[in-house]
Amino acid sequence: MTPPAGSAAIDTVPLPERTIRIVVPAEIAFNLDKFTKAMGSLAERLGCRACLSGADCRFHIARDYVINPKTLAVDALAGGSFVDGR
Amino acid sequence: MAADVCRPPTLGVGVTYVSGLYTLLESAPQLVDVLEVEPQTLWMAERAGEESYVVDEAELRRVRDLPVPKLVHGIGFPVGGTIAPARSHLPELCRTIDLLKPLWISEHLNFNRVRLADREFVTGVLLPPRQTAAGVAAAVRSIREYATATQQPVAVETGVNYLQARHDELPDAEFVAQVAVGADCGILLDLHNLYANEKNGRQTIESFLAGIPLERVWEVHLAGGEERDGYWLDSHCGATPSDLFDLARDVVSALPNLGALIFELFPAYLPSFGVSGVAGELERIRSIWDARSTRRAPAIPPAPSVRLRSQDAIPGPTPAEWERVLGSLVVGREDDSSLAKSLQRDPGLRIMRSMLEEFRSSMIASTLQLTTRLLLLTLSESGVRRLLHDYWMEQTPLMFASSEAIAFRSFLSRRDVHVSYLDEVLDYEVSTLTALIEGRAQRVSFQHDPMTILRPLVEARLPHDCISGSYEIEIVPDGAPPNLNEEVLRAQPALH
Repeated sequence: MTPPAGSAAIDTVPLPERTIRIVVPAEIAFNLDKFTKAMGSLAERLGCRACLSGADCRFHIARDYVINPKTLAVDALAGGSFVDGR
Repeated sequence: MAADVCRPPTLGVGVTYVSGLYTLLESAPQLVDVLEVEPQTLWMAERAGEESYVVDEAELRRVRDLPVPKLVHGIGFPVGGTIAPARSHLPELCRTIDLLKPLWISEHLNFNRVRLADREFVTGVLLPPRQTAAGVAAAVRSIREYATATQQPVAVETGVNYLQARHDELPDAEFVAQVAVGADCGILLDLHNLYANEKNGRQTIESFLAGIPLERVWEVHLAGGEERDGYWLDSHCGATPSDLFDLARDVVSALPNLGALIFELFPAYLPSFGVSGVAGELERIRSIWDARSTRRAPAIPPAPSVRLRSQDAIPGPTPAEWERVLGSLVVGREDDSSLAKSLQRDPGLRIMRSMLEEFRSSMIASTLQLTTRLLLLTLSESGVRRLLHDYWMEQTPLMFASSEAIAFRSFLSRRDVHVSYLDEVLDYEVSTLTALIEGRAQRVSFQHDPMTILRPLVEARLPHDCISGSYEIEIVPDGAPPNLNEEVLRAQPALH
């Protein structure tokens, strides 16, 4: 099921239990959107962080992406909560 | 160490390697005379969730093939504490050194590993060592071991310290001078660290420079920072501040054995600062390099024996106690010692805790991007921060982002967090990084059409009304160009 070089094959092979299988190269699975540029290379993201003794902005980048730029309010809050009531 | 080691070759202007700078380094080689490589940023955990190391071979060879001399600047195994750098990292470090053939290597005069009664933990941030005679002795021992193990000339970096100066410690310059002379090593003079220290109330740069053997300075670091909560942070977020830049011009001219002048930028700031920003900063820094005196100092005499002040007689915590208490407080653990009480009165402790929280949050955000987004969209930022705080109270920091991600998943599995599709997204992302690290295909089951979950998250929207069914994604380790990701998503209709 490995896709040929230079393409991202999506197989739709039905498994016996009618499971649909999708094959995705790991690099693509790890690079689904434009944040990859800010987050760095694979090793930069998976390994030790670079030399720094100040602030790391990557969480803020992630947070800002889900903030509505017009209202600076987080988009629709739905679908889940803590059950411990906090 | 041989006497000639103290007169390093003159290399010139350089930059710390960041993968996003590769194109610039390839297309405009005249900007850079030397490239500084932080080896641990090219390492990954050998197996997902474990603290053993394997080099990202392809990236390392790409760096090696850039036609400039290299320096190796360690970031994970500082030499300023009582616990010697972990031997487990030496094979990969030595292999990196063999491949890059640096003219010298450097490490930080800090500590990041703490021994409690029956275990060790890492602090996640570089912490200032105990600046006493015993602290000097511990650092000298570590540096010598490091130099012996790597068979390289070693320079130690002057660190940033957000704590206020203490009456029971040596001044910063005296500590660095005694360590450098005691270990007979070079000094990596990080001017931005000194700039932050001065702005935050520690020794002035002028006083610091008057107290160290300038002939031992082989390398200078420049970087940008930012102010937060009344503190100047060593963030490496952009251009060198103009007043520091002017000062650097004078300082560099006074360093007879300077071999390299390096600009540092944290990778996450590259998109905002820009590759052109880096190129401009390198040109600006070159003007300092070109203006420096070309006069070389005479050979340095053999290192004198280290003569300590009467500091030995001053009562106070031992280096091991300092590391245990400061390390515990920074990672959020309790300690009721008198040292802990005095450190808790120092506002710098709050800054260090805040930095560590941002580092750990960012590790999760960079490895578990879609999970982070799903949590933010569902629980809001304050909810995610509460969740992360609870995680940090259970788990001390881990060296590798992949290890943090896996430990966070384990934490979430023990918590009753009700977030729709969380298990599927989390399994998908952890399986992906496992495939990347271990080179083995991973399969992830979905109870919904995965594209109806993943596509909205890619677009920062909350998935809803996802189509139920039995799906499986097989994540294969063979790479393909990342720009194909849109094809993956466009191909989604073919699933039905």
